Amino acid sequence: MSEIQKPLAQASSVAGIKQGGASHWWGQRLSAIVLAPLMLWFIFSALGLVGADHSAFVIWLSFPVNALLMALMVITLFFHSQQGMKVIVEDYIQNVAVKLKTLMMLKVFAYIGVISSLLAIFLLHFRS
Amino acid sequence: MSIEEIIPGAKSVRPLSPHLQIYSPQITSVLSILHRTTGVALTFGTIFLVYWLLAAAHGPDAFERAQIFMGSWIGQLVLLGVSFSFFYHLSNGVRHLIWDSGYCFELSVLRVTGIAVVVSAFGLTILTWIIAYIRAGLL
Repeated sequence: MSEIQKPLAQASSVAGIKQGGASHWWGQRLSAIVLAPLMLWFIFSALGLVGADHSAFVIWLSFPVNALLMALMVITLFFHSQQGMKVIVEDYIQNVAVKLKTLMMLKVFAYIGVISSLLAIFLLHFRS
Repeated sequence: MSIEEIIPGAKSVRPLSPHLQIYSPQITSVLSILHRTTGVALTFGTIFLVYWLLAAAHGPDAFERAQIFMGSWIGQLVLLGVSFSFFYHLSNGVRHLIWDSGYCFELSVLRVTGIAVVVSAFGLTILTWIIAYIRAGLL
C-alpha cells in the first residue's frame, strides 16, 4: 500500500497543496494587482525626481501620502518578487538541499530589502 | 520504480520527451520565458532601489553619488534594462491576469495579445525615457 502511495506523496510534497500551493497562487495574483498601480505611481514620481537634489527628495518624502505609498510599494514589491523567485527555484533546482538553501537565501534577501527600505523611508520622512 | 532498481547495472532506455532545443521558438513560448527572465532581472533591480533609498537616508553626499551613478552611462544602461523589464513584466502580467479570469485562450487571440504586450513594453519604455530626458534637460 505504501508503495502505491509513495509517488503521490512525493509529488504533493514538492510543491503541492500540502505546502500551500493555492494560497501561493492567490498571493502572487493579489500582490500583482496591488503592485501594478503602486509601481506606475512610483515611476511617475521618479520621473518627477529626475535630477533632483537631496533636499528636493527629502521634501517629496516628507509628504505622508508619498511615504505611505513608498512603504506599501516596497512591501508588495519584495513579497511579489520573493514569491515569483520561489516558483522559479522550485522549477529549476532539483537538488533538494540546494533548493532549500536557495529558497532560504531568497527569503533573507527579501527581508533585508524590505527592512532596509522601510528604515530609509522612515528616517527620510521624519528628517525634515 | 526505475529500471536500475529492478535490474542492477541496467541503463534506463525509456524515451525522453523532447526538450527545449528541439522546439523552434514561438511567440507564445518566447514571451512566456521572457516573463520569468524579466522577473528575475527586476529582482536584481530591487538592489538599486534599496541602494538609492539608503543613500538618501545616509545623507546629501551619498545621495549625490547615487544620482551621479544613475545618470552615468552604466547606470542608465541598468535603468534601461530595469524599465524595459518592468513594462514587459507589467504588460504580460496583465495578460496573465486575463488568462486567470478565463479569457483569451484561442491560439489566434494569443498571438494578438502577445504582439500587443511587446508593442506596449517597447512603447511605455520609450515614452518613459523621452519624459526622463526632457526632465533632465537633455531633449
